[in-house]
Amino acid sequence: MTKQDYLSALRAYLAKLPSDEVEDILRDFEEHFSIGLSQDKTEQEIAAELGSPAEVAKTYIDETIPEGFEATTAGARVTGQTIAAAPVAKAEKDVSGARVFVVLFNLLVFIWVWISIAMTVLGFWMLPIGLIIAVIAMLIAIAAVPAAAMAFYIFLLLGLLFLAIATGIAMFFATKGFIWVTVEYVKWNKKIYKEGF
Amino acid sequence: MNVQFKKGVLDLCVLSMLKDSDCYGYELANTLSELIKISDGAVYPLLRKLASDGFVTTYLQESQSGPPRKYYSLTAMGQKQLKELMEEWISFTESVNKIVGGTSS
Repeated sequence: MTKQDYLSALRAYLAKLPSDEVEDILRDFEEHFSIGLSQDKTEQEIAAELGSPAEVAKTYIDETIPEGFEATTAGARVTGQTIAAAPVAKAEKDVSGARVFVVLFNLLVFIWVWISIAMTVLGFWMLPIGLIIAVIAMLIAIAAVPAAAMAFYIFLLLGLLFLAIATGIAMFFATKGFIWVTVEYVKWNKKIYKEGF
Repeated sequence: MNVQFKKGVLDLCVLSMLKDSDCYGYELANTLSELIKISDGAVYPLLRKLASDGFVTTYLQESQSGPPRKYYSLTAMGQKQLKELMEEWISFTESVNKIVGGTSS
């Protein structure tokens, strides 16, 4: 097969693809031919090494067409259906029960537990916030402190500041953990709601 | 050989060949078809797929003889993919070697 025969055959087999894509592909093959020719190969040799144009075109087309459409043989369809059919029916039956459970459990139990934990977390936040307010108040009042009591005053101030930072950090991680658990719980709930147990 | 499997291995080969230097299509096709039993023509669709998946980019470069050549170059994503495929390949071949009783690396 000559270069010209090869390229026009390839073009014909690629007719399904958009024309700009076809041109792009043909350029690659023209380049392949011209490099092969410059290395003293004949057009026939190069064409033989490339493999049949139909085969090459099929590879391009298989790659362009979405995967879902590939399984068109009867065998693939039958196995696809038998594998898919059983679990789907089972899942549908399970899901309704799981959904009732998810909704009832959340309404009757989880929401209340969650609110009380959230309030507790919020309450504990008052600790670092209160300490910070105390530290600020002490800084404002520092002018009125007698010189004799100053060392103790500053010691107290730094102590409170340290406590504020320590509790703040602890509350930061506690809150982060609480949010993480909530997010994971919601994800898990969604999964159960969709797919059953 | 299973088509899907062969495709994955060929991806690995092409990405590996591009790891150290950019190559043009003919080089890749020639080397691959010499070492592995595939036709030269099968390499171009593969390269196109790798490009559309963002694993390689192409650019044209003049050559001393004939028209400009299309060079293929690994992208950052391609390097990551190569690393992943390489790891998969090593663990796969090690397992197979254990089963068939060959020398495992």
